[in-house]
Amino acid sequence: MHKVNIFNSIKFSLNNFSIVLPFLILALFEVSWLAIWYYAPRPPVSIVLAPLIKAFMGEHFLHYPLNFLALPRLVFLGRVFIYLAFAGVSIAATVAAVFQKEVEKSSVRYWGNFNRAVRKIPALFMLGIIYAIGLFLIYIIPKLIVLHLVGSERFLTIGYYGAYFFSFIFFVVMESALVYAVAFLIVYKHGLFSSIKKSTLFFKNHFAFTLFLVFSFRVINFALVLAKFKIVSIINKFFPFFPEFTLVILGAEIFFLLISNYFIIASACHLLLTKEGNK
Amino acid sequence: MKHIKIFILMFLLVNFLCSGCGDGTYVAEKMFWKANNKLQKLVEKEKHNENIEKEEMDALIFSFKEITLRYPYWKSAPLAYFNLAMIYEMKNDSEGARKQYELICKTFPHQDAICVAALKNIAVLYERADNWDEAEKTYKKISTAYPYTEIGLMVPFYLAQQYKKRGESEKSGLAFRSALKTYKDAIENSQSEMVKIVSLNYAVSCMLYLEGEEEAIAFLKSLSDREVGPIIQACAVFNIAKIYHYHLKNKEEAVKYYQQIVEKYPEGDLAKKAIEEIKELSKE
Repeated sequence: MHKVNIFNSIKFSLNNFSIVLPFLILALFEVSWLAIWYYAPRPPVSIVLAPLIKAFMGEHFLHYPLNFLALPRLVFLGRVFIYLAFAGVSIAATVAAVFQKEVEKSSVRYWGNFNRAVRKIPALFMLGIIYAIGLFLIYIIPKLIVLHLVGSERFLTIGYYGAYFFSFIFFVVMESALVYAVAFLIVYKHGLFSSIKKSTLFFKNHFAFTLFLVFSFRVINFALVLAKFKIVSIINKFFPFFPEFTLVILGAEIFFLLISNYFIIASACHLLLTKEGNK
Repeated sequence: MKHIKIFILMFLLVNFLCSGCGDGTYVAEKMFWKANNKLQKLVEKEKHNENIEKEEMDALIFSFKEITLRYPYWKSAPLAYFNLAMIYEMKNDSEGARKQYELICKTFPHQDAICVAALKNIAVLYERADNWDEAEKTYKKISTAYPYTEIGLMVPFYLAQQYKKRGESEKSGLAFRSALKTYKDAIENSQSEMVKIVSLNYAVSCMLYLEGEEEAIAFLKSLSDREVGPIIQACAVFNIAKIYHYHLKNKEEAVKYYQQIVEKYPEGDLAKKAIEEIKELSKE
């Protein structure tokens, strides 16, 4: 019975792919951000952005091919702001869309969903902050432990990879625990902390499904993050005349983030609505 | 759906506007970097005596020519000419290489460093072709037009050495004397520290040839006692130490002067070199 529900939820996400729209908008923001920084060494964008790059990163990052080295950092910074500002609204709008499709059996009212999500911005923003703090700690603590434990510089690189691996595992657990929170907040009108508590409880009861769902999609994102960290080595080894490969990695990252976000949120929300609806 | 279409259209418009209509600098940088990378590979191949296809070189010539034609005012355009000349040299086409170097001097007459390097390469090409008269003329041209560049300062000493090598002892002696005068003038009158240091080193070499070690040391001591600035003073002391070390084989005096640099001018690179020399001397 449980297995049927898992596949039903993923099948639901596949069959109703048009619900991806809120995340598509988020991805378009990211692509625009990437495009703006990609064009930063050239007029007219350079008029505004070149002095910033010059001041904070150095003049050489305005020239080909070193400008590609600056892009991953700039895209990451942009992602922090874009996700803090809009991710909550996108998730809430997706949750509402799943609710309209699955429970109300009506067509999706995107504009109305966005409006309703915007009204919940304070709680969504707080949830985003909690998520971001969790993410930061998950990233930094294993790294600090490795730095503390590994004395020899020879083993530091291996140690860091170990730290990234543990960060990823903790991240999957944290996201799994929080993945239902927005649905509790939007659909069942719970408060912020009550939603987090309920989400954690629901995760506990559907441990395997949630972990499988989050892990299977986030592992692609994790692979791309590692590729981004090693971008210089990858380019030097496989594409020595093609530094533009950075754009391919960053574009793929945005695309797979869009896909992962959509499938994780829509499938988890579908499961929650079917389960809670059954009660 | 209407809103979404508008959103996507706006997104495309923003991206289109961002792509802009620049002056071509970025595209020139991109083309140059790609062509330059390929050239480095060819240079590596040449170093390892591997076979280089004519087509590879022709394709590169095309790439660099395209840069010089499409972006003639780009600040690194002279480097494209340089690379073109280098490829012609790889093709054993001295005439083609010389033409490219001449183009640099003609197109970028105000870029001293580039022009002087191009002239030097022309002179080297003449020398390789055993055309000493043209080489000498070119060297003299460097000395007249760009006397206070690194290559310009090298020329008087180099010419004197070449005359000596060619058995023209009288001409060589005169050239050494004239070079020494030039270097002494530069040490006295130049405002640039680089010019003074380079001139000092060449002046010492000339004096060693013309007047011997004692005279050279006396000249350097006179410099180290005068108000010529700490860097020049340090250079003078270092040269004294080197003369005692390598020419007179006087270990004690050499260590004394190396030590003097370490104590008096501990901040500079010469202090590090002096410490290394002292270590070497202590091993002997």
